[in-house]
Amino acid sequence: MRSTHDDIDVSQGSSISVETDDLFLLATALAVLAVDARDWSHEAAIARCVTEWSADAAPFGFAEPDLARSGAELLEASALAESLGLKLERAAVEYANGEQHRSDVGGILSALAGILAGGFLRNLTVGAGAPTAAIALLITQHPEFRRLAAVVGQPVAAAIADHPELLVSPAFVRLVRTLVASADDVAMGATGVAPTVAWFLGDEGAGVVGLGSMAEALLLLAGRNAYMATPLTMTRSSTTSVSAPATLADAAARIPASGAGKPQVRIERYADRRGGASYAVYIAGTSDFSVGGSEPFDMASNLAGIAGRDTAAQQATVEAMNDAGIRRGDAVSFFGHSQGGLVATRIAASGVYSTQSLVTFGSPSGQIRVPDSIAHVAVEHAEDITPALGGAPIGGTDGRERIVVTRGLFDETGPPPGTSPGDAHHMARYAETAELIDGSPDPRLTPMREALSGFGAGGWATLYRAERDRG
Amino acid sequence: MSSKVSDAGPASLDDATRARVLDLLDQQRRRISGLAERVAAGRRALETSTVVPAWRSPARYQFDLRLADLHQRLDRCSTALRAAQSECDRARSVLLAGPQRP
Repeated sequence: MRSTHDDIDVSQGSSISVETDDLFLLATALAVLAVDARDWSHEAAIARCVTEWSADAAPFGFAEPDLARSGAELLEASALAESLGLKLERAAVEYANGEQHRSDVGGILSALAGILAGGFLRNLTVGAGAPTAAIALLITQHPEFRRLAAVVGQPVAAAIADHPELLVSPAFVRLVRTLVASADDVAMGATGVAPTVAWFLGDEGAGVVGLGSMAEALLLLAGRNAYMATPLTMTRSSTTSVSAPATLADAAARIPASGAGKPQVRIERYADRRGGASYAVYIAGTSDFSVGGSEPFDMASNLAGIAGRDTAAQQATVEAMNDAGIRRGDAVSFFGHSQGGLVATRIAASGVYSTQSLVTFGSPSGQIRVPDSIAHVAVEHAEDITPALGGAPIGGTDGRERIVVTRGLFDETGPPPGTSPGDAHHMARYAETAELIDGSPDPRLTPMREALSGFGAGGWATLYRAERDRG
Repeated sequence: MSSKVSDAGPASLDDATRARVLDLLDQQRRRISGLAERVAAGRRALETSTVVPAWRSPARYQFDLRLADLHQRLDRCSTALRAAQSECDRARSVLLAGPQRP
C-alpha cells in the first residue's frame, strides 16, 4: 500500500524518484563527513601536541602514538568519503538525468500521439467531412443506430454523473497532466502543422509553442474581454498584532479563504533577528471561476498566469505588498493556495524580493523556474487535478531544489461514494497535510522550517482586498 | 617512545611542574573524549544515511566495499581514541605516583 491518508511522500523535483533523492542525500552526507573527518584529524593532532610541545609534559605523552594513528585514519577516511561522495553525486546526476531522459521519451511519445491525434481530428473534420456527416446522418436517421449510440455512451456519462469519485484518483490526475502537457501538440496536429515542425516548435523541442501558448490561445478563444489589464481598487482592512507562524500548519491556516467579496491577500510584518524587517505574504486561491467580473483572482488570471503573463491577481498582490511597505530586496516568505501559489511562485521567480521560502498548496506552478536559493516546497494531493493543470513540472537536475510533498488522501479502496473532484483541492485538506509535514523528520524540509523560524516573535497582520475597476 | 617515562615514574618534579603537567593531561583527555564523541556521532550519521534500499546500479557492490572500508576506518579511529584515553589515564597515574622533588 503506497499511500494512506496519513502518509506523505517527499521528493526533490517532479520527475526524480525518491531513490535518486537518497543518492543525493548520501552524497551530501559523505561530503559533510569528508570535511568533518579532516577537522577531526586536526583535532587529534592538537590533542597530541598538548603533551608533545611541552618539555615537562612530553615524557607523559603516552597517548601520542594512538592519537597519531587516529589522525591518520581520519585523514584516510576524509579522502575516501570525499571521493565516494563525488562519485555518488556524479552517479546521482546521471541517474536523475536518465530519469529525466525517460520522462522526455515519455513526453516525446505523448507529443507524437498528440500531433497524430490532432491530425486525425483535422482529417476527421476537414478531409473526412463527408464520411463524418454520413455517420452522423446514419445515427440520427436510424433508430437502431441511435439506440446503439445511446447504449454505448449513456452508461459512461451516467457512471461519471453518479460516481464523480471516479475522477478523484491519482491515475486520473496523471492522465490530465499528460493531456495538458500534450495540448500544444494536439493543437498543432489539428492545424495541419507537419509533425517535424510541430515537434520542433513544441515543449519538447524549441519550446516556441507550449503550455503557455496554449493558455494564451484559450484566452483569445474566450474573447477579447477574457483578460484585460484593468486598474484595481485596493481595500486595506484594519491592522492587528500577531505572533509569527511557528509551524507550516500555522502558516497554512493564515491563507485567506477564497470567496467572492473576501480579502485575497494577508501580509504580516516582523522585525527579524538582525533588526531588519521580514514579511510573510499569504495569498488565496481563485474566487471566481468565470471571466469578466470584478474579481482579480478569476479564471482569466489563472490562464494568464500559466501563459506567463502578469495577471490581475499578481498585480493585486504586488500592490498590497507595496502598501505594506515591502520594498525591493526585502526578506519575504510566500504561502499560497491554488492560484495564490501560482501568483506567489511568479513573484518569487521575479527575483525582485529576497524570497526566503515559497510554499504552494495545490498550485499549477511546476513549470516556473524558481532560484535555487529559495526554500521551495510544493504540496500536492495525489488526487488534486489543479497542480496537473500546470503541465509537466521542471524536472531533472533543474528541478532538484523544488521539494514536492505528495499525499494520497485515500487508500487503495479509493474515495468514499459522492466525493467531489474538488474535495482534494480544498485548503482544509491541505491544512491537514501541512500538519503531517510538520511531523515529518525529512531533512529536505529543513530549509523551509529554518525560514519559518526566522521571523521575529511578534508582528502586525493586514488583510487586503482587490477589485477590478472595469469602469 | 624512548623519551617517555616508564611506569616506574619520572624523575622527581616540583609541585608547580607536576600541577602544570596534570593540567595538560586533563586538557588532552578532554580533547580526546570530545573527539571520540564526535567521531562516534559521525559514524552513526553515516549509518543512517547509507540506507539506500533500491539503488539500481552494477557498481553497487564496489560502492558497498568502499563504504565498508570507510566504516572500518572510522571504527579503527574510535579504537585508537579509546586507547589514547587509556594511555592518558595511565600517564596521569604515573605522574601522581612518581616521586616529588623536595
